[in-house]
Amino acid sequence: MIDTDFPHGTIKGYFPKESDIIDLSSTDGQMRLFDSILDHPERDYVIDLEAHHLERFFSIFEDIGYDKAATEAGMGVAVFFFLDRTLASIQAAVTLRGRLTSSQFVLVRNDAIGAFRAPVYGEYELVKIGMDRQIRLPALSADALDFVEDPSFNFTDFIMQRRQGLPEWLSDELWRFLETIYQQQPIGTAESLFSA
Amino acid sequence: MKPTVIMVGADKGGVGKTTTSRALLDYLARKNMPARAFDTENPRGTLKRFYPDITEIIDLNSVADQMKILDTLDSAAVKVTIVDLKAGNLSSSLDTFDRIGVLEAARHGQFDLGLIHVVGPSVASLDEINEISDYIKGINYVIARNFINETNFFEWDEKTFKKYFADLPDATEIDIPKLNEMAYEQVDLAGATFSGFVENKDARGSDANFSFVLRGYVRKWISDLDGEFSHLSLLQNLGRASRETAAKPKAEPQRAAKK
Repeated sequence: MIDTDFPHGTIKGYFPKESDIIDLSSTDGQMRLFDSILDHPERDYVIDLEAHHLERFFSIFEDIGYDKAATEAGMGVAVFFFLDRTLASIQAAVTLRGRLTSSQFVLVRNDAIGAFRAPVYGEYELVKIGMDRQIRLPALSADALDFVEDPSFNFTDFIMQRRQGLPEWLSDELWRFLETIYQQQPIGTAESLFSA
Repeated sequence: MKPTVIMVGADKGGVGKTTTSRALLDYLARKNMPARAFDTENPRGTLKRFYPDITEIIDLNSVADQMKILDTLDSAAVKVTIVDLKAGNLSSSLDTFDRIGVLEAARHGQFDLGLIHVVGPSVASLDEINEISDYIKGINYVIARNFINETNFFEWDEKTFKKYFADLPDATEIDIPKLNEMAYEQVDLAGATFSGFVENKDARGSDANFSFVLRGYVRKWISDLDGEFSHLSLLQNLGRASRETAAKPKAEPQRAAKK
């Protein structure tokens, strides 16, 4: 797991052992990120990209030809883009999609943030993105959200039922949340992303 | 193919003159235009470290060394000659070439002559243009603005900038784009050519283990630079001549006379 929230490390708060905090603004940090992944292409990586790094990251990604190099190393790259309600967000998605050559582009829409501010135009523009897949994240209640945002919580423990003593309503809501997401996965789940 | 001499010079050190020469040699090699180079940073030589096989260190004040360049233009196996002029010696080098008739010979078409003048981000650097303006009439003159170290060029008003070019309507401008500092440093330390670095080869041509990120930065820089060099008529002519030479059918071997 690569956390680009330098120096704070939001994701590292949830996954202290699995995460590395990277300063993407430094060449050294870029080398730690891109070079280390290519050194071990047999592993899976998740890069949590801060919004303010989006342009920088994909500019480097494009400049150094990472898309192609990852493919040559036998890796699949999938970009999950979390869409906001604004047209600017859709335009950013369209631009980003155009910059990717062999990577999968997955659009993620979060019910919690609500519909587009300009719904008709927004849906019309959305078609231009040409996404490989779309995932809808159902909205969680405020209480459930508080619960899952606690650093001591993780979904793995919850699914493995290692987390005991949850109120029934909360447990039900989290199961529904996960099932809604999983039901949107094509057969073969995560592997299908990279088997084109 | 007519011989071509390209001088790369600056009247000030540290403006990226040798980087420009290296980039140019790299460009010519990638375009299959073999070249030889003369490094006048004697006695140590900077360019020679990167191109040891094709570079000779010379003293431009020595008549014998002047002859090495000029008297061999027609006989040399390669027709493109790059001369990396010692920092601070641009005006005096041009004066030397003028006195021995090189500039005049080029104006009469005996060979193609170009000067790539690398300028730094200062008015003093631009003043050099005026100092050499008499020498460069009738030769291919290129101003190379070096952004490699992210210098902010010519932020003064356009009128001031244009003033320096008023007497040089045929001058061409190119930009040497910025290259990531760490990438530049790594290529420098490795003593490799830019293309070699991109291909992950060390100075001897053996496999290396350079960072993919840094190689990527250099690859992008080379690609941007190709775009700049491709504007230059001198290099366009070279490319054309090189292609024509390659396409020319070889003379058939003469048949033995019948007895």
